[in-house]
Amino acid sequence: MQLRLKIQKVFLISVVTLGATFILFPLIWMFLTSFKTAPEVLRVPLAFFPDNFFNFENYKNVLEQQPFLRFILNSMLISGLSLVVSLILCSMAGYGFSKFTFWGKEILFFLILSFLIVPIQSVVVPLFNWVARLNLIDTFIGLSLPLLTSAFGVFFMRQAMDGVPKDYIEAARIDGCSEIGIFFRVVLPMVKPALSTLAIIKFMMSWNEFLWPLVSTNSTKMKVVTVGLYSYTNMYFTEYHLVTAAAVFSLIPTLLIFITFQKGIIRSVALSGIK
Amino acid sequence: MGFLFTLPAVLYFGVVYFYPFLTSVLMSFYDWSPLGTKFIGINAYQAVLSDPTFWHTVKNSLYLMCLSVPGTVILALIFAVFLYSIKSDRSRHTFNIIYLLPYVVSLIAASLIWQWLFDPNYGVLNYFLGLVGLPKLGWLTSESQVIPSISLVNIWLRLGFNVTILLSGLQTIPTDFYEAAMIDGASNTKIFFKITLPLLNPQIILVTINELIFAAKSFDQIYATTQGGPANASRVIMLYLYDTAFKWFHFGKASVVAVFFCLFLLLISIMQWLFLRKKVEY
Repeated sequence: MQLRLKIQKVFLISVVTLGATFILFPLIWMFLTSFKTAPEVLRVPLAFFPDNFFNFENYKNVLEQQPFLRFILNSMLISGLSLVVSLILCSMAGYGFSKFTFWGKEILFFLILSFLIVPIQSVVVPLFNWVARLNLIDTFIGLSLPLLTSAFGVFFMRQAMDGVPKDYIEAARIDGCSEIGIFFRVVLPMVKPALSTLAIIKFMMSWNEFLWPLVSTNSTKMKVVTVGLYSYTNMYFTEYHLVTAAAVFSLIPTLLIFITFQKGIIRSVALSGIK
Repeated sequence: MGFLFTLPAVLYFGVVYFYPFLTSVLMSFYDWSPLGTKFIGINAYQAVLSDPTFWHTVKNSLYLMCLSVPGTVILALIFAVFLYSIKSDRSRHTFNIIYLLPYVVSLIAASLIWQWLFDPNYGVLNYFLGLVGLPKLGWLTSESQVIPSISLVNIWLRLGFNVTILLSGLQTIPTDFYEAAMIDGASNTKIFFKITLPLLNPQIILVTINELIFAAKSFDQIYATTQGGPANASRVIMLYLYDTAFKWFHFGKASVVAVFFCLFLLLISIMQWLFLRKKVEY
């Protein structure tokens, strides 16, 4: 009996570790390759470790060839803007849909929700023409436009607002607080966890956007990290030591956020699965 | 009053999403290109439906979905169950975090990393194959292997996400069920198939639908690596849409494809709604 349990345990750990290896291996390999020089990369038979772990030549090349730091800045600005606007608009909309009744409420909610289904790809073409006509190509406004709010955000915040007891709001109203005051001072503090969850989700989603930034920017200095990474690899197609260095660059910010907010991220992913 | 609170969001969606979407639908009936616009009505749809490239694209997309989705869902289920069985909270959390790491990587970066792994001459995967005496594969450069290779990338990308969702679903199942079943003498396998799986049904369906939509929307991974090649073997619907609109400037035709794509996703979502309505009785 004891042996059987032990075998089960070993089997369990093995499978789970196998999965972890599958996930980690590409990332580790990318990291290792970014420190190799061109001849090392092409070496036969394969060398696992770079000759020199402190070979930062590739990273230097990345920064010289393309303004990668600028790309990171752009991505940060877009993601930050998207985060702030999303939080405000989604929480307001969630509050309105959750705590009030008005004509057409459910219809409007359903319409907004339908955009969970409509992919951004279906609106890219006319949106592009629209943005181009308004001369917003290559601007921050044009870049961030479709990212400012998400249907998911509205839905998520409505769910969060549903959990706020009406008594608090009623009490604040009796005390003579203005509606806006109620929103900012009573309701919002009560949904802080949901706000932080939404913030994380929104930031990471905006950071990894590719199609829209690809379409809405032409000049190099307006590119975001994803597009910059792509154009960089276009130039150095098979020079994998450079490509991996660029890739590592592109994921440092999101990795830092991920490590900092681990628990929150697990919670937000799990919550997004609950309807 | 409540309406005023919802107004900014409503206006935003109206302007940024709804209006372009309507335009997309309207424009699908026109032959819209830099040469001008001309109303051609239903013929626009006929033109797309009779284009063999379009159907080739649909076939590729479906193939990708058929490989990516079952792979991701089944593997996610297996790993979720195994993670659930881990007693230590900290270990479970650590493994969960590791599985979620691809969430951090943009689709572009992930595709580039995998392209390097897939390199026919110097990539690690072929090196390992060589070590065990198997022949080297073409991976992304082979017409028959390119879509399976991209499916592998998709699975890598989405596994952690779905493991997390399924795991949290497993954690909400009351343990009384398992205790009662064990008292009744049921075997582990029986418990899994007769109790766990049905109770996990909502999450499984959610995950499946999510993956169907993700695989259908695949664009970044393919654009960054094969661009639809070799020989159109990886030309999926989103790539076709992009090329039609931004390479060949046939905006009208692209709008038709966009509408079809939207209808397809709508179909999937309706299926989800229908399935989820049947709530599991405790």
